[in-house]
Amino acid sequence: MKDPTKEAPIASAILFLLTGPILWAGHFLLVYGVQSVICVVGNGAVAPSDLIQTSIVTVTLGAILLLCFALFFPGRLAHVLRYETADPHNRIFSIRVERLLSLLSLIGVIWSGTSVFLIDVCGLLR
Amino acid sequence: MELPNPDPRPEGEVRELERIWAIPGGYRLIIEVNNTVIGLIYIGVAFLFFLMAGVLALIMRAQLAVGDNQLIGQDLYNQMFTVHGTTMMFLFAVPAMEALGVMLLPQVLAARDLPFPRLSAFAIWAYVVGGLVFFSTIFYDLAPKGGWFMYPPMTLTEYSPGDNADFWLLGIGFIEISAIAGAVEIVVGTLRTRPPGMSLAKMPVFAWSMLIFAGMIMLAFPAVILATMMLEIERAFGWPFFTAALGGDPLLWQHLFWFFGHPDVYIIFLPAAGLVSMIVPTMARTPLVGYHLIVVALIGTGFFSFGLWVHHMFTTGIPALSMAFFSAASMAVAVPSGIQVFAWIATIAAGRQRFRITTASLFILGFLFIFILGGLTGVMVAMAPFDYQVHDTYFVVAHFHYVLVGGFVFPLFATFYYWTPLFSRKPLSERLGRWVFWLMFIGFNVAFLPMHLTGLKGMPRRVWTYPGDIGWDMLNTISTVGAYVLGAGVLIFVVDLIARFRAGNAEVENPWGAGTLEWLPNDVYSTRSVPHVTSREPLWDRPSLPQEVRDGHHYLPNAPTGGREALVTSPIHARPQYVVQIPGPGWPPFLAAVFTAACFLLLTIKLVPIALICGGLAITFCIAWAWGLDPGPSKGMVDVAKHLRLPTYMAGPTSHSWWAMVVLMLVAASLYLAYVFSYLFLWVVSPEVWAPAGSPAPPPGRWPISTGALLLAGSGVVWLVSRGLKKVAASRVAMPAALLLSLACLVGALALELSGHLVTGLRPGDNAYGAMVYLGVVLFGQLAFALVILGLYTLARHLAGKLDAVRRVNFDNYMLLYDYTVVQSLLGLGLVHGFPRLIG
Repeated sequence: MKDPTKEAPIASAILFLLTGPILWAGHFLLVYGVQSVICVVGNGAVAPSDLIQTSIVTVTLGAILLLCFALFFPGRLAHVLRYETADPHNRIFSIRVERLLSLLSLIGVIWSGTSVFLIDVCGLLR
Repeated sequence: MELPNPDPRPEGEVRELERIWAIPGGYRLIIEVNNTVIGLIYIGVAFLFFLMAGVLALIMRAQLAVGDNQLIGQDLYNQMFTVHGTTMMFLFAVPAMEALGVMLLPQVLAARDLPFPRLSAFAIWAYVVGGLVFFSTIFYDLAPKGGWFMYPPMTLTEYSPGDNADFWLLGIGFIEISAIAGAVEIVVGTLRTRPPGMSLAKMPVFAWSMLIFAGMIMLAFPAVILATMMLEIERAFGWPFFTAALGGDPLLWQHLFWFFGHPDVYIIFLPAAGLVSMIVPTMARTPLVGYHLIVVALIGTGFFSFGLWVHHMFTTGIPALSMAFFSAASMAVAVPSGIQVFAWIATIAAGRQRFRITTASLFILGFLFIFILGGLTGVMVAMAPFDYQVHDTYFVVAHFHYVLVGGFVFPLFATFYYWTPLFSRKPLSERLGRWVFWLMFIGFNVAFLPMHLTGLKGMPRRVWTYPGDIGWDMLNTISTVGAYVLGAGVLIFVVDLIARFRAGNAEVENPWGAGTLEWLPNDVYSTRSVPHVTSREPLWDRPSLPQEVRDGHHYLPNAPTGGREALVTSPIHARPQYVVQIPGPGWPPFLAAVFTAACFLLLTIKLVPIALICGGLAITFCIAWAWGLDPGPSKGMVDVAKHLRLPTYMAGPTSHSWWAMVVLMLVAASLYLAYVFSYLFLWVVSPEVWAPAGSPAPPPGRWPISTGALLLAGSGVVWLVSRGLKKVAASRVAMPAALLLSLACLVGALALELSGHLVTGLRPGDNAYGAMVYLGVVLFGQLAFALVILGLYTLARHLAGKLDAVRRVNFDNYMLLYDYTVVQSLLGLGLVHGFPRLIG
């Protein structure tokens, strides 16, 4: 956006700044949901462990890719989300916040995703 | 920088501002809506609850001082710990933070007031009345006994007969609604009433933290509102959401409760962190180190806190991998929390001059010490194997008191000492303040540090006494002594507060030499003119700013509409957009709050007819209150600066009213998603009884299809009216006809949905599946009820000549809520009718 008197929609700003946490939340919801549902529905009949591991690894890799895009290409992300601002001070602030949140979310996603390799996917600790 | 109003201002402007913003005297003070008045009442009542819940804690500590003690009986002890926890969490912590938001945000943003002062007043009085009645139940043996988390099945009628649990469910559920009302005000206020130039990048950290706080309330509180609704419905009507024998699950309560309950800890902590981020730079006399990092930490903590709730449920038998996800998130949240701690320490270290040691600084240092200890034990209990060992022991009691008292109470006391000069003619005593701090700090650690050991020795929580010969006596005696030392510190504070606090303007402006806007010259109307902001510490970077503001050289130095008003700016860059006319004092918000509280509380004791009358009166007063809120564009454009004229009325997506409705829809969506989660959760945990064998099949497809068609037709009618509002509003027939037609579609859709399930023979009391199906109808019905009132109100506005193509705020609100209702109901139709068919 070139006109300095106009500003991007607030929804674009929120989506841009919160790209990382939103991806983290989506990843969290998916891995938790997939694991919970497949463990119940599978009930041992369709090798739920393999299915869950594959699903979680896929979802985690997808989330990592998206987070890396957000981390390394904030300009392109801003363009996609129509969050472009002419004010340099605000632009630097937005990009820093977006990248740092993406980095934080990346750690969270990897931390959650790797647990699938360490723990029995449908086992109960009782 | 060129001043917005460089010329000398005419005489009499300040007197006019004082007249317009004058505070009513005597008993009429209760109808005032200005933030400085109601904010003080709000924080005062919240602190009163802190004191009362603290007294309960001291009585409990006396009971536990020695083994086999018979000071108070088991039943009263159960009521006491329930009321203590409930009061501290629901009536003190969250309201105190909202109070600080209402009280301080307009000052921090140099705004005349927040955009919905009557909504704030409503929220506050509802909380005051409801909270006092709830707390008083402890005196009549009517207090709940199920702990502040009220787990079923213990709180089901079978195990908790009587009205005690209902007081919690209806009382607290209603206070949560009050909290949401406050959150709407804070979100819209923070994003739309910032001073010109204060872009997101220059927003004070306190404003960031309040924005995130309010956002978290919007997402978290609906879950517990739904849970309290479900438990109350089960207790009152027997819909078995939580009864395992009928397909329900008590763990569903835990999920919903902790989806609220864990973020609630951060809902309390984040604003406190924001306060700390305001005080530390002032005392260190240097800008905050790592502003970006702190904003990132606040947002990151807010998000991560929603992925932790299951760590309260590690011992309930959930799958190990689920625990791993939540354990990882629980440990990950320590990262952003740690970022903030390091930023504060770096700021203290970065100051060229020595960090000033005042009472406020001492409380900040005490906070750092205590909160870090609480955070460390938090990481310990985030590890499932360790949590298994200490779950439900005094170790956990120690942990969460370290987090909550350290992370919230100490910053709050720092706040009291730091900001009192803003609201009181005299500051609090620094000499007594040292006594207060050291007694509280020592007392707290003496009380709670030994509890880690008590817990590791196996003492469970919530026991009213214990055998005197198993080695717990000494530790408990020490804890009790510490608790009374802590109480002595608080007592000295209260004495000092009574002796020195006198509401009014301070004798000394900016006594700490702070750099933020709340220390500009203030009066009842806030600042004389709204400053143009060019940095994060405007008072440091522009020493002439206070005088310029006082002389009216910045924006809106007068009252061009002749009434209360505030400057509305754009959400990202804070560019001036329009002047909002703000309502002044009035009885309707106060009376609406009183009757709303009465309605809920009378329902608790089953006085249904009187409760319904009170409910009707509450709605009537809400309508009376709303009637004056849409003044129309009659005031035209006004000058707010030498070269800036702004409109005094705004409709559509730019208006603050639109924003409030969108925020409210997000709250409603959050509640509905909690319902969707509940529905699917019960299927996940018991797929073999979902629906139970012999249950009727869902209604034939023509029922939901007809319901959906009616909804879409109603939405189409509203859309057509919106497109042609200029013509339709001019007609005395077309507008009423269209509104009534849209309402008829809505009510018809609701009736169809209800009838469809009734004709199948499914009943809500049969099993959890039936209960969930009918709960969906109830949620649809709630929105339909609100829309009927809003639709008829819009109709009345039209008939009164107060609605046209320009003055359309009421219609816009109706349209937004209608469209939201259609989307939610279509999703509900897909879930309730589609999902059972999908799973066969």
